[in-house]
Amino acid sequence: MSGDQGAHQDGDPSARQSVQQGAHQGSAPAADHPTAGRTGDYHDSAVRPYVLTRGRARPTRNTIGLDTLLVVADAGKPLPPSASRQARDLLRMCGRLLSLAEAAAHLELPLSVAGILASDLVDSGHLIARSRIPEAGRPDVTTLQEVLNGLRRLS
Amino acid sequence: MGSAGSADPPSPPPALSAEEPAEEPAGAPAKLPAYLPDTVQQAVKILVVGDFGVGKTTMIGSVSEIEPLRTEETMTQASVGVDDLAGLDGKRTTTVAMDFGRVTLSPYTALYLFGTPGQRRFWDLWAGLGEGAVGALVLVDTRRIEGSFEVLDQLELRGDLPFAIAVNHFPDSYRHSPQALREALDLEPDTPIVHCDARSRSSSVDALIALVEHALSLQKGPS
Repeated sequence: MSGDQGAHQDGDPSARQSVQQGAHQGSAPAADHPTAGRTGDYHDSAVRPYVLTRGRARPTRNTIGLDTLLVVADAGKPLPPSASRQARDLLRMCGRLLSLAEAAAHLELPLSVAGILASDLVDSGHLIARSRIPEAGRPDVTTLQEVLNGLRRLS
Repeated sequence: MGSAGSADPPSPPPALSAEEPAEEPAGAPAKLPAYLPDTVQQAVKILVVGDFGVGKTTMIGSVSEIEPLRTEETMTQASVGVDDLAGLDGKRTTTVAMDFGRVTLSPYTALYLFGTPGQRRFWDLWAGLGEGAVGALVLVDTRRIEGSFEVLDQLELRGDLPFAIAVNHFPDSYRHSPQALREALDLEPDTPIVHCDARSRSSSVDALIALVEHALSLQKGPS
């Protein structure tokens, strides 16, 4: 699997480094990179992710959020040839357990775009989403107590 | 953000997950992220909210077991509005960044800390940011206390997100009494106020504990 990870290295290498800095100047997000839209029907790279987002303003499932944990469902299951580069990158990134926000940050994708891609990949059985907190609710007493105990162990 | 403390969090403790390699050779595949242990079944989140430069990223860096990350969304010119966003004028689209960190609290639970600007429309950029959150820790700089008003207005308007106040101490900030702060911020009597140093892990964790205790008491209902 590591052999093809160079595929998402075609962005500006300096962009990744600048994420670690307080000032985030001058580095175009991956979505704006000239090669970002080279797959699929859209070739206007600056627009493509937002065309994707605008086409489906919401993911097919509303249970995917920043803190949804994602992991590959079946490492051997291939994506269809029509899958976008971003979808392939996301699937590869989630080879082990990671939140959507982390995957999006590492891939330098806007979170909304990553969320729609993740939702599609969950629908197609490529990714599993682990999330116990109901979207509309608050964490229950048991969860809060566990968080509290965990924080007390840190302090 | 004035607090570029994310670059140098003070002595992070050993992470439960594998450390990222310190450097990557030029042209090598992107380094692997610091994955969560496979045992983790749920993620919880706390929002660290506050005015620009109040120390959100510093606190996240102090607590996080991973190098703080940044997620971005774009906002259109229409939504930029009249905000005091120095340096962002004149762009047709503006990228708004949110720094976040992570700490694995148990084999089953990971906590994410999202550093969120106070303005409501920024929250809305990240769909579902506040949904399901434990609560919000409001970082306050007493030298610019008015910078907290909009944050608190938004939280009170929402009404559904537990929050606590953490006064981040800067070397030249005057130490107000809790009562004076409570009056200045027009807080409810049960809203916790703690003092903290966002550069200190233990101090930041203590502030988070105050928030979670408050959320727990609200969840358990009025006693």
